[in-house]
Amino acid sequence: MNCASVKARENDFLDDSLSPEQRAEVERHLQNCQACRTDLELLLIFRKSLRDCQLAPPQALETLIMRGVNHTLQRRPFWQEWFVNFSVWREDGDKRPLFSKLAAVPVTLFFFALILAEFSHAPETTWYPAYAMEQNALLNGQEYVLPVRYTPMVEFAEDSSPLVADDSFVVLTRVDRQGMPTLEKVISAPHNRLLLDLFFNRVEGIRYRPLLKNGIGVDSFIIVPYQKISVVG
Amino acid sequence: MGNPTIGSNVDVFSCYPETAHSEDALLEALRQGDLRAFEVTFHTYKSLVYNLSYRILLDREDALDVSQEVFLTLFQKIAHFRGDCSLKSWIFRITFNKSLNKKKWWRRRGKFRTEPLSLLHGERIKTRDNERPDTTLQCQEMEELVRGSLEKLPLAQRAVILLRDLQGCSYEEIAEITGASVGTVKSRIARARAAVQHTLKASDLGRIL
Repeated sequence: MNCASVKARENDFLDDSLSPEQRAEVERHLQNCQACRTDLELLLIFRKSLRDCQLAPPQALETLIMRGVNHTLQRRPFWQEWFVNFSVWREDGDKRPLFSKLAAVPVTLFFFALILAEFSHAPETTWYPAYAMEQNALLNGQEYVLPVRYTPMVEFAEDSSPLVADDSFVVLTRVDRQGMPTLEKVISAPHNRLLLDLFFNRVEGIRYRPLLKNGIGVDSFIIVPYQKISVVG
Repeated sequence: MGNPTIGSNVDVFSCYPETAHSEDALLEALRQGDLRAFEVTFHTYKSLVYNLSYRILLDREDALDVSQEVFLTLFQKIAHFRGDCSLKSWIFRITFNKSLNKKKWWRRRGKFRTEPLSLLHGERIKTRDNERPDTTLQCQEMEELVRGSLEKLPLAQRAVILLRDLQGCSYEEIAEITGASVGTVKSRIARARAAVQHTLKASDLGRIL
C-alpha cells in the first residue's frame, strides 16, 4: 500500500469503518511512513483535544432555562395574552402580539390628527374675525370697510386736519416673498390723505394684513381708540 | 405535572428508577410536561448542546443564548417531535439550526467581533484532572489550536466535523441533523479534515511532529 491509497482511506481509518485486513494494511504502512503517520496523528490529536478540552456550561444556563420554563407554564391563553400584553412600555422587548400592535395604530393616528388639526388652522382667520368678513366681502365683489373708531383727541400730525369718526383706510397690496407689501390700489380712501403715507412707514397700532393665495392682499389700518399713533422711521 | 421549581442541587437521576432512563419513557414523560424528565434531559444534554453551539459559533455568550433557546424549544415543542429520529439527533438538529440562525443574525447586523484572550477560556476548560497545572496549560494550548483550525472552516464543514469528531454522530445521523445527503456529509467531513490537517501542519504542533 502506498501513501496515496493510505490518504484515500484516512477518513475511513479515523471513522473505524475499514475492514480488519484493510486496517492492518494501513497500520503496516504507517509504521514505515513518517509523513502519513504525522498526518493521521494531527487529526487524532485534533479529535482528542476537541473531546478533552470541553467547556463546562455556565451555572446561569440552568437558572435561565428554568425561568423560561416557569414562564411557559404560567402562560395564559392567547386571547388573554393579547389584552394583558397591551401596554405601551414593556421591559422584555417587543414581544407584543400583532393585535396589540395594530390596535396601537389608530390611537397613534388619532393623536397625530389632533396635532395636525391644531397646527393647520390659519391663525389670522381665527384670531381676527374682521379679516374673514373682509375676505368674504372681497370674494363676493363687495366693498367691505372696517369701521374705524378713534378718539378725536388724538392728533396725527401738526398740519393735518383732525381725524373724523368712521374714518377707514383699506388698500389692495401685493406682497412679495419677504412679506413686504406694495400698494396696488386704494379701495377705500381715508378722509385724511396723510394716512396713506402711513402705508410706507411703520405704524404702531393694529394692522390687518390678510394674504390671498396669489399674493394679493388687503391691508387695513385701524386706529385703536385712545391710543396715540406715532410714525416710526 | 411536577413542581415547577426544583433546586439545581437535587439529584434528579435518583428520582427515576433505572427503567425510566430509557428514551421512550423519557419522551413520554417529556410529552406530558414532566419537569423532572425535562431536568434529566437537560442534565444529560447540556454539555453536548453548549459545547456544540460554542464550537460552531466560537463565542460563549452566543453559545449560552443558543443553549437556552434549544432547551426552551425542547420543552415547548416536544409534542411536535414525531420520533422519526433519536432524541439526541433532534436536539442536535435544533442546536444546529439555532446556531446557524444566530450566525445569520450577526451577519445581518454586520457585527464582526473579536474574541478576548484565549486565557479567559482556560478558566472554564473542563479537564480530566483540574488540579494539575501542566495538564490545564497543555489543554489551553490545544484549545488555541482547535479554535484556530475551526475558525478557518466554513460553517457547513465546521458543523459536520464537530458532529462527527466531538459528538461522535454517525454519517446518517449527521445527514439527518444537517438535512444534507450522506454523500455530501462524507465529502464535507473529508474536506474539513484536510483543512484542519493543513492548519495544524503549519502550526507549532506540526513542526514538532
